[in-house]
Amino acid sequence: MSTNFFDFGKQRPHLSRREAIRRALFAGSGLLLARHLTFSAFAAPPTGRARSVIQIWMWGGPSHLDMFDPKPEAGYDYCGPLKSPIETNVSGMRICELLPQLAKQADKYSIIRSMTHGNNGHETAAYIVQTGRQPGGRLVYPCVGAVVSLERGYDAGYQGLIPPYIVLTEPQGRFDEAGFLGARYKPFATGGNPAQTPFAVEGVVSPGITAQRQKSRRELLHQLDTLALTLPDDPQITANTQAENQAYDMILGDGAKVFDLAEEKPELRDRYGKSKFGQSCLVARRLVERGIPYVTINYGGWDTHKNNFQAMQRQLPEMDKGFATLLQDLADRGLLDRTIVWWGGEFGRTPKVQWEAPWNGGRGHYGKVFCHVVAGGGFKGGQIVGASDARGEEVKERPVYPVDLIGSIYAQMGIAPTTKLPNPEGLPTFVMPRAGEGIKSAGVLKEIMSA
Amino acid sequence: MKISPIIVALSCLGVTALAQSRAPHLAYVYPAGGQAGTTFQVVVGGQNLMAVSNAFITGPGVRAVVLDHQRPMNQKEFNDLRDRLKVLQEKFQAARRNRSGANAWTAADAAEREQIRAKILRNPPNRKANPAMMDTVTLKVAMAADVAPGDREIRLAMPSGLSNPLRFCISNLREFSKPAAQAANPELEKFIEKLGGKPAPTGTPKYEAAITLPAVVNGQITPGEVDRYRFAARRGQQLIFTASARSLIPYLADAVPGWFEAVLTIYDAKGMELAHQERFRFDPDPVLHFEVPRDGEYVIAIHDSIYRGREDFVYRLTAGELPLVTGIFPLGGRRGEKTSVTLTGWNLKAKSLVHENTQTGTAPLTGDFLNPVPFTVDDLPECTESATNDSLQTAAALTLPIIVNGCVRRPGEQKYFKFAGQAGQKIVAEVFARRLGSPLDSNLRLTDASGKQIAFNDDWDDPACGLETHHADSYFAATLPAAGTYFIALADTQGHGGPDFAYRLRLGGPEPDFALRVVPSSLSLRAGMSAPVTVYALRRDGCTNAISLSLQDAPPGFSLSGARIDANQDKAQFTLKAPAWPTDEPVAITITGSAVIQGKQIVHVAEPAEDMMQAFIYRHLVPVQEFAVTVSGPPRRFLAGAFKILSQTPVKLSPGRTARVRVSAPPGNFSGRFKLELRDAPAGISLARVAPVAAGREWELTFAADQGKARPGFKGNLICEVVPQFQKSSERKKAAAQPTRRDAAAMLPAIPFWVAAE
Repeated sequence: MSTNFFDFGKQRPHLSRREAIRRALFAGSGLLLARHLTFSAFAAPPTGRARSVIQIWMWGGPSHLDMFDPKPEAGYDYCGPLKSPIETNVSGMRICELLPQLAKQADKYSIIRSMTHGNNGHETAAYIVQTGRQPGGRLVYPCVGAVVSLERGYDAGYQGLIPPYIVLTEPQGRFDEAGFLGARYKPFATGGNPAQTPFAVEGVVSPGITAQRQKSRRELLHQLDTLALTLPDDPQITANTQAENQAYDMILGDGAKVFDLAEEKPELRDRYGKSKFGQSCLVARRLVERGIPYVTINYGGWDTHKNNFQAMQRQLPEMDKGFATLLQDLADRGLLDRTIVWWGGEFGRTPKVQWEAPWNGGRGHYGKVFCHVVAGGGFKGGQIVGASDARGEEVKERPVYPVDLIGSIYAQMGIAPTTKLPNPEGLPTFVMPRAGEGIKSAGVLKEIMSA
Repeated sequence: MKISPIIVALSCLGVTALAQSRAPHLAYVYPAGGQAGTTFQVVVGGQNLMAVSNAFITGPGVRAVVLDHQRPMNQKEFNDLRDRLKVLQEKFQAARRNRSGANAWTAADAAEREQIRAKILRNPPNRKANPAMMDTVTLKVAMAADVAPGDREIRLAMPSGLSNPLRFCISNLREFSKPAAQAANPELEKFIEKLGGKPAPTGTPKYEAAITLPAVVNGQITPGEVDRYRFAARRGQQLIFTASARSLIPYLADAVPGWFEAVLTIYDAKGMELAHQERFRFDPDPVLHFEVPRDGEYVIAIHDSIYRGREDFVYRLTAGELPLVTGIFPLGGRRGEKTSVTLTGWNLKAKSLVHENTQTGTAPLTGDFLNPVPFTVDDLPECTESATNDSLQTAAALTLPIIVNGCVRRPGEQKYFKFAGQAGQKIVAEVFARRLGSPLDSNLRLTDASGKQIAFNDDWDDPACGLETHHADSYFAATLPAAGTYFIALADTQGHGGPDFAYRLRLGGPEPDFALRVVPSSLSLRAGMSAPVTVYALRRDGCTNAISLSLQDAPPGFSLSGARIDANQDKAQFTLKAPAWPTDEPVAITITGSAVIQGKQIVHVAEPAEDMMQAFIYRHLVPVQEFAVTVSGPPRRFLAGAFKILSQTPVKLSPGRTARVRVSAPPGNFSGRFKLELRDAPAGISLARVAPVAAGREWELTFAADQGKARPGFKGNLICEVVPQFQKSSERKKAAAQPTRRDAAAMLPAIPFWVAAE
């Protein structure tokens, strides 16, 4: 019996002329999303504690010294004007003074201060952090979101109307998220801006088109569809009609509602912050509330080569508000226990400030040591894992490699490290690398994983 | 409240001991040169240029004076002017509607409206402007008629700062310059349109002009821009077009690729492409040779390879039927001898020249041709390879040490040499090709008589190659296992070959030596104060010796502290102290390093260099012409006795312990306003405490050595900065909003130290 369970049929299904026409008819308004009608969680409950992941992807590489690993004692050339970190609600845990709301939520999250991989290139580092693998070799590995989509998505019995892997709002574009798993496991990027009304989710919410107009369009389509009238019992046409019904349910029913932030109380929306990031956090909460297994918020603007401190002054309050409210809101609704919130980027930034032109107080890429933050889903709060040295330049204790963190997330999701991944070459490939693959590891984060 | 004179003095220093963060920083100079015997205007773009008062160009015969400064007005200033303009406009329209009204439109109103418009248009705000080149200074440059063509350097100075240098060229050809580029400013375009001006142009920017050859054309490339120059040419002319772009501004820190990648294309009058060049061999600056097919008009076009553009994408395009050398042979010669050098190229009047080899090292070979080419002089015996040593059987026999001058003339060709070696004999083999302008991408293999490989090298990292981003020369050091015949094979890694693929192969025992680079190449000091300087040692053939550094023929009053690169170390940071009086213009300082190697004293001059970043990450030490130092500010007699190291040095630091150093303190309540910080603290060393002693006349500095991190045996310098301790709340707010490097109010002389073994 072949061990290759990669289904090329799923990967590249035969496309009939009729199917092509149907897709062409529906594609413009996103009706293809309608393969799955109802909201539901997993068909078979996973064994892990976590049901969903919200990944706040700080793309560009956030400065570890200016956020979760402040080093005021290192002097001005390292900390610049951000030299007064604040205490959090966890004794001895200090973070940047521009994160007062997150300081009040510190008991809900753990800071990993010894993340390391040593790579300073955006694309490569993003690949390493999101797949746990090193680039090169014969395979392009899928990122965590795609693996969760495989293991907790449609193939695992998920029947939600919304795709199991959502990106708010734009794809990162640094690498192929699905890797060798193929397009089926790529995320659905919403597009649009949740801070605007309506949140124009691509193919789901059409700005400027009312529900009534959408219904009128449907009626017009039916009038033109003489084939369905002529062959009402044709199974293919019946299937198409079902798909169409599902699609319209998606657009005009519950599917669109999940993105309708008008359903939320204005006070809560304000607490998240009216920024794109803040409202994305709110949408993420709504999605995991409905059982979506994996949501990534692609949060750009952290590649602060120039004027780093002006960027921190501008952006950190926005991040503080959105991230802190997300944690509190998830906790208030009893969702935090089953939702992992994973915050981090591809690397940190050079601890020593580049004062000279053209940087004018900027920070470069730094993969030697940086921070990630995890909360919920079985991860303990109020903990600090590892440490960097006095200037944040080296790992001082307990290195954490991306694969260690990813393995911990999988463990909390109930995804076994030995779970096989289908790959096009039929090679035995697993969600976690095996010893012979040469991937550096210091072990999963047992110290912050609830028993 | 009594204010101590020292506090006032140090506070007034503001940009004091070294004010490099607020010193002018040059991003580009445009045009980047001119014709001898002419006077012309030059725009210099950069940062912190508004207080620039002087411009200095190296060498005699060229003078520059500052005419004007420009910086886009800030948004608040613009908003105020715009609001006032709006009020005036409403008044104007109201007056037109009701001529007899009390609110009449006056001549003063009209004048004010025009003034505001002119002010905005002259100096518009630009939120999109790159801060690193937002300021511009206009200079008038006058070149004497008898100045020799070549490269100079330009620096701008203000009372408390001296800029980095930029290359500035002198030619003897007619020069043509397109108007200086303006930074893109979409908001200004909209504003001009509102004022009734022309709508902003759309589409790809293009510039076209007619030129007469020969000429040097100066331009800047803005985003997407293609500059086109029409010229007339006659059938059979051998035209040369050489672009200088990357060579003018070698590395851009914030761009990928990290320089302006110029591309040249020639079109005929009908727009048909006839020739195209993107580089000249491994050099990113293209050279295009064009044999004119028929009499007529042609166009040479220049743009960036991926159509980027910004103000610092400056080029000089030299065009005409000009003599250009593309290759020489040999690439060098022996000191004390004369070498007949064969030239290849286009439009050359002579096919060879004789070079008198007086001084070792690499220097430009000049003659009756456009481009200087590198030529190197060594002390070792030399030979020229035979034409037949292209197989193991015909390997040329060598007696070591020797330098072989050769050429890989055919694609795929291998060159073989053999020599007799002894067991345990150390052998060094080194190719000089890329470094001397040859396109050869060498590899070297050492085998014994049985064909067993002893050593191999393709490329090695030579930090001395500041401008080469693909250094392809080979080098290895090996120890021979037994007595016998050994073979060296040399080939082009890419399998290429040709008459220009020349090389010099050095083969012999190790010759430990070093080269030095001093960084930065511009320094501004307050009178009587110290500033840090770094010298890098580029060691070769296993040189590990300590190198003592000293000033050579420096003007009175300059001195060095801690100037020594210890054994096995590759750099040292130490301090240069200025005299107690200011200088009128930059002084060229020369630092030399000497070491006793194998019983011989070797002395080398530290070549000034800029530590430049390429494409966000790579760093290069790029040699420049001068280490220029300015000394500013009045002498401060009360500081004469301050900041002297009183304890014996070098200071002994023991891991896990502390050591104390006494320093003479300035008068007054110093510690209330200032504190000391250790700059670029060596691994494991920290400044634990500073305390006034001897009734405040001295400070006691306590340095701590970390048990685990301080490396026993390590030697270096402790450099302490005097920095302001307290700031006013308004200053704090400003610093938080616009943080910049905090300038040291003063700097102590370097304190040499060593870490003991215990």
